[in-house]
Amino acid sequence: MPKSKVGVTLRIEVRDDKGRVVKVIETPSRSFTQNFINILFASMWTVYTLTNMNMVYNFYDVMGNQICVVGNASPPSYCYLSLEDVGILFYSEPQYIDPSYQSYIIYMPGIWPGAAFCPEPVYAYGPCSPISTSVLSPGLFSFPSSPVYTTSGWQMSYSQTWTNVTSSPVIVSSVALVFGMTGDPYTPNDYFLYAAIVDNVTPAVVINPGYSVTFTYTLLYAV
Amino acid sequence: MTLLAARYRVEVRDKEGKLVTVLEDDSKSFTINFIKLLIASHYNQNDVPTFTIYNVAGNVFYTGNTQSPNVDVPSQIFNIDYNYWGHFPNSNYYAVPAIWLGTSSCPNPALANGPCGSLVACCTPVTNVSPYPFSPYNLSPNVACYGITSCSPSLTEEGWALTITNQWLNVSQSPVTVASMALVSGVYIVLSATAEGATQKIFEPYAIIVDNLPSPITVWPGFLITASYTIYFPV
Repeated sequence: MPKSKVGVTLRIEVRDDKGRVVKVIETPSRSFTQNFINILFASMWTVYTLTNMNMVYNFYDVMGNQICVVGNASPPSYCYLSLEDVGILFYSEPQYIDPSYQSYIIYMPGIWPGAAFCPEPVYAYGPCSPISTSVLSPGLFSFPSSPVYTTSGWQMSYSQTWTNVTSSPVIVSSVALVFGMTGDPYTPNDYFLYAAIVDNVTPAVVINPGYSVTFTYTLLYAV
Repeated sequence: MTLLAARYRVEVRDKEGKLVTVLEDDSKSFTINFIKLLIASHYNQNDVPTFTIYNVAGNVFYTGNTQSPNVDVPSQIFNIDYNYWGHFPNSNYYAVPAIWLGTSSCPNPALANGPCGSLVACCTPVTNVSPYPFSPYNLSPNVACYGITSCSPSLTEEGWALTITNQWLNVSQSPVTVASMALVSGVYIVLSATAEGATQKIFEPYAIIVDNLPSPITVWPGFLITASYTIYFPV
């Protein structure tokens, strides 16, 4: 049994409208999603192998569309979209996101807030009941730019701040770390959004008007 | 604070299949080369950072596209597809995914480019040259996922598990010492580009994880060594 199976910490910091910290929650993250692990497995293989070994990997994007990775084979009828393979799975920039997400509640990689708890985060497509960017306004998504070596391991930090721009309190009950992924024939300029990690926030946090909340995921890779 | 964990297991069996050695422990070291490739894969081709990466043999290449040779934005950094891999360390040999063995311990596995000392398990000859001391035993082009891993994830009590297993048979006439091991993936780099736009690409194996064994083990001729890594993603 591994002595250290949990590799992710979620920190939530709420600040008032003057920037003062009013609440901090820090907890081990629970759930790499089934979607993440399926994409990771698909990324180990090329079109040739996926095709010749009749391998099919399925996952859901943040909108709940089922995407299939099938090599050059004909995709099953249930697939909303099919890819020949998977290339990138940690894309974190706002450019080159597939245009279909522009009409969705949130439309770029980041740490997304949700208003509802997820019954089973490991099987969730994103945060449950994603909160509109016209309610919680997103700041820039911060992601790793250089290796950070600590005594605890290689540290990879992701952070994003959201500000309540409405006149009513907002409740955040779940969050998701959302990346872009792509594969042929869409490589390199068309990324699809999926949730790599989904967590419930317990207890839920209330963000008052003018307040902001910062979500930080810290992943540690053993050294 | 806790870690994204991997675990290794090494078994040695004699010619009759009898188990003679078992080593199992938490893996110590994701490598800096892997971390750099992982970070670079967060970016697009317009602003991907330039990092210096070393392949298993210590040869340099770069992320991004401002220096040569380069991998640009690294794609499929967990690739272990035998069909996709290429020649290494030269055109006389073909690289075999995914767990390679070395004869010495590494001074600092996190900074190592691969297993240390002499590389004794990595590749099969494609021309009439001497083989490496270890020959792959379970790798099969006709078996699902080449016989080295499950094709789909399993959800265990420890989380999502990805297990990769290689078996290597000592085909030499001498005992071989194994003191370090590495989980190796591979990427293709652009070696050169012509004015007409043609490019030459070569395969570069790099180590995701490097570990020293707690004590070196001896694998006798005809003995089989089984090395596996399991990476756990918490649920």
